[in-house]
Amino acid sequence: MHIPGKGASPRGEPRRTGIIAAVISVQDVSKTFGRFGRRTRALDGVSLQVTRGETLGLIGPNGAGKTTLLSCLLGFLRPDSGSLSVDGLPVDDLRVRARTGYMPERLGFDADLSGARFLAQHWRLAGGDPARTEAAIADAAERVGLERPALARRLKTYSRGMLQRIGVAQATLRDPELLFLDEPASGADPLGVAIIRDRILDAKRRGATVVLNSHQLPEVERVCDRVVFIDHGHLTREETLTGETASRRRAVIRVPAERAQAALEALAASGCAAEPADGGALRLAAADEAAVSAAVKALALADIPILEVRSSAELEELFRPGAAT
Amino acid sequence: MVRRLVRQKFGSAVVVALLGVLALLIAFTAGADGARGRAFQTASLALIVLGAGAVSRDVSSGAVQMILARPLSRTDYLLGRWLGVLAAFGVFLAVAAALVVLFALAIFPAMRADVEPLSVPALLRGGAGALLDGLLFSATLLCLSTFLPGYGDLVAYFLAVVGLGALQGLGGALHRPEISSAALLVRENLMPDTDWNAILSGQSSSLEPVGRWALAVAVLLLTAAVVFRRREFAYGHD
Repeated sequence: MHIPGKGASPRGEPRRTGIIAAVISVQDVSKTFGRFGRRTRALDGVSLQVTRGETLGLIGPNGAGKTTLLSCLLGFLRPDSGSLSVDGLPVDDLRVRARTGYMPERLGFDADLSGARFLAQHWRLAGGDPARTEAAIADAAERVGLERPALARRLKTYSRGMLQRIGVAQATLRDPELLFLDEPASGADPLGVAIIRDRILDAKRRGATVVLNSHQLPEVERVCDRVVFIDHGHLTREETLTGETASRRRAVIRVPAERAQAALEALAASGCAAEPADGGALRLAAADEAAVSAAVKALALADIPILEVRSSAELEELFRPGAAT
Repeated sequence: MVRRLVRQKFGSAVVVALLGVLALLIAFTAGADGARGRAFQTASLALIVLGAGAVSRDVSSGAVQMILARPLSRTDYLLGRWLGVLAAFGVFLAVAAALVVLFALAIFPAMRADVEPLSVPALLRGGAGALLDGLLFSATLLCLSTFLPGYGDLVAYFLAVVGLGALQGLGGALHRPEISSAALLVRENLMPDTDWNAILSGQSSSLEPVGRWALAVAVLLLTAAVVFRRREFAYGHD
């Protein structure tokens, strides 16, 4: 991956290059909207590559250019300069589209369609076998927790969360190799968020390449292999979240808030560097198994209850202004 | 398209009203068969409900992005929309024709109404003429719908009809025949008024008017395809 003007990763680890088989390639793409003095540069020299089977998260504030980048990747927008390709093919090539699933931030549909007809329409548009339509719809709906009565209802009666679920169901019809998701869990309830996450993880397991645009950073962290930060149309940073080159993961241990100070002292006494965070959370300086094990042991010996232990890439911290430099 | 129409309460009410009026108009039209044929051609008005905003409504709802993310070319999408409108219009014409037959053969005799007997060949010619007129009108709306929002296609069509008529008049008033000629040229070639009944019954030479009609349909569809292929779809700059 190449980030214009930003050089190497914060930890100096080697970045992904074109040598690794990239399924999606974006080269120096710029896109401007508006005319006559009211021009907005939505993308400015963006270059990135996504390898096969990778799940890439796009992170950035509103108006950063994430949706524009997705729209360019799907061929809805033509860049002013630069190039985009999928497996060496133009992004609007029908062979690429046949392998693509897409869920927009706002689902576009004929509001009078029932959920079942909506899915049937997309099944056929995706090239699905007409004889298998019923079974495919039932399967897709079941995977996102939509029951038969809900499928019979018109889409205009659906809640935002139900629309997000059926959106994910249509995007994952025919198990696409490429999945582009724009804010898939926006407006979904906690169960909906979990279901949508599971579907993304399903896609990952079967080797799909996923590009996910989401503001829900904990979800991004849970499903993405790598994230890129976009701001004012530039890629400003990337973080690898999984694998040997994973950067910036830290363990977080949560204890009762009133015992946080005692926990910090116990950790310090046992040689574990940690710092306090909100709500009784303690961030350990390291995330390796030995450090976490030592910290848990120290807290247990100090008789401090442990409410939660997790590993975090702390995307939220990186997302704050000034952090992405 | 037919399902879509039936689901729209306002649209279906207008279409049902149009069907009734059209059937009565045709059945009651006196005079030569040509008059009935011309009455049938007013059926094109149904396309105001059936064909307006065919593309722009998909664009404004965001449905077009979801459709175009599928393995379907933009040209195929446009063609599908156009054929869908024509299919709905065909159903409309078939129902209208059935109503005319019903009125002529069952209702009017029962009411002892004094109407001219129905000629099936004239009815078929009228239906075919209406379909061919509808083909051109729907192609015009489709073309305009590829770049105008909402029901801008319909507004633009009627503005063009009024504007070209006004230009013809203006040219005469200003003693500038070239203005009138230009307006007439555009109107005759993009909105040709074809007497299908005369052509289909062999009463007039068919080559030139049919040629103009075919050229207009081809130009409009080609323009629609070119504009739509070049069009970008964004729903925000995020």
